[in-house]
Amino acid sequence: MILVKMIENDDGLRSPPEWAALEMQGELETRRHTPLENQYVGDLFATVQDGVPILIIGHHILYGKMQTFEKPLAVMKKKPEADEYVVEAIVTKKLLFKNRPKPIIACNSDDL
Amino acid sequence: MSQNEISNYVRTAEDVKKVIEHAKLSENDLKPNVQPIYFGEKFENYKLLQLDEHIMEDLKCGQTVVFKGDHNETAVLCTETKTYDVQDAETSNSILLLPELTFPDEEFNNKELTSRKVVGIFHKYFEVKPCKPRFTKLRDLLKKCSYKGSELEKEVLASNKMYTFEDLSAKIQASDNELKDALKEMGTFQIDGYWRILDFEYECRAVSFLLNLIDEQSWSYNAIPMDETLNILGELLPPVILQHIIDQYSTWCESSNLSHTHRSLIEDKVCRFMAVGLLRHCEKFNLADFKTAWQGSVPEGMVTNLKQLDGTVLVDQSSHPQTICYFNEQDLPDNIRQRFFMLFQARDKWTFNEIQPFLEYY
Repeated sequence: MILVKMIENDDGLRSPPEWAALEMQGELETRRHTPLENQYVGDLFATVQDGVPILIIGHHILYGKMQTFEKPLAVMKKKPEADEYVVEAIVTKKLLFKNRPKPIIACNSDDL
Repeated sequence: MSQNEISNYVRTAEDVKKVIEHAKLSENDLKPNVQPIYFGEKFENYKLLQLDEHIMEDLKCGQTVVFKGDHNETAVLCTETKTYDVQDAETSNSILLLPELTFPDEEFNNKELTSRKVVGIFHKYFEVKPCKPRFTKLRDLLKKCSYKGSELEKEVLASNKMYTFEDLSAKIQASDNELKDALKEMGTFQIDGYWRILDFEYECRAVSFLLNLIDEQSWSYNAIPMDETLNILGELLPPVILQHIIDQYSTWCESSNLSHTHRSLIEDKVCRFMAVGLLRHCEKFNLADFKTAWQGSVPEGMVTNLKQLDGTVLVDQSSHPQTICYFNEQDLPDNIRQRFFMLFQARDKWTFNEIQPFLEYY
């Protein structure tokens, strides 16, 4: 039996922070397969018109859209030495980049 | 881009300007707040669990939800009132979690770069779907330690584990409310805080004490004087068992002058119990013979009716002579596929009305 509890803030309230998700196709890896921790990933923009999210990672550009999870996700962490998970955050919204990333250079040459 | 490989690299407004140009975007088309994204210094070992509104509500109210299941069971998640099937869902997409992020629909007029941190990358989450509570194990556990009479109680206690509600709640894949309902439905009772059922043979004996008394005293089955009954049967049965039998098989009379002194037997329950007693030990029973024997076994005035046995028996109307056999819904697996398999092993064809009692809770 493993318990799941909501994290409590200092006032004893159980309204965990709302975190965000970026969802994209495939895997993220560094060129030399070094650990991802601490690395810079890319820049996130949004267009003035329609607020389309744009993510530029290396030489790739990704156009996305905002979506709400049909069912929110609880972010849980197991308590050390206890059969208990604590829900530290809730994720209800994501930026979904479901199309294949476009190479920036190739894009330019297509335009010509 | 070799700079990207260096830890502690920090984006500057210059870098961002360059990338915008490079990508052939126009700065004017973009909102001023740009969010460079970095991986955090350490990825925590988080697990993601899908929530529906009900689970979310319970968690926010401070209730605990619980994963339940032994190694040989697939896990379920239980709230106070509901049970969910838990599946390990995998996605080929990468889900990056960020504690802070400004969504395109949020107002945010900071023109400075706002760094955002990824705390983990995920390809898996626990998917939850409402499901039926699983009670086969509950029946098995309670059968093993069933009450067989005061003279055998010492032996039963010595060789079996007994279960409190907390013990059962930890072992049974059901929410506490569903478990309480199931305990009631199964006709369980407590001795010294442990939940028990009566051994069937013992229950036959106890019920027959009650029915014999009604017969001897020529009482009507729907007006049984309680004081006298408790006095007489108190000599034959332990108080907790006597009370249990009375609770299970009778209700207080409805007419106001008898409502606190007399009880009425529950016709359907008594009839079903007597039928099970007749059928339980034989493979098949000639239907006509069974009906006669059954009617003869119930208190005078009660009317037996095959409808009372829905979910407890199979009637074979195609055989000559027609037959009936014991086939209890409660003995079928909780898993719906396995249940269908067993049902169609018992019989090639079912009409809707025939099969319905065996699938009522699905």
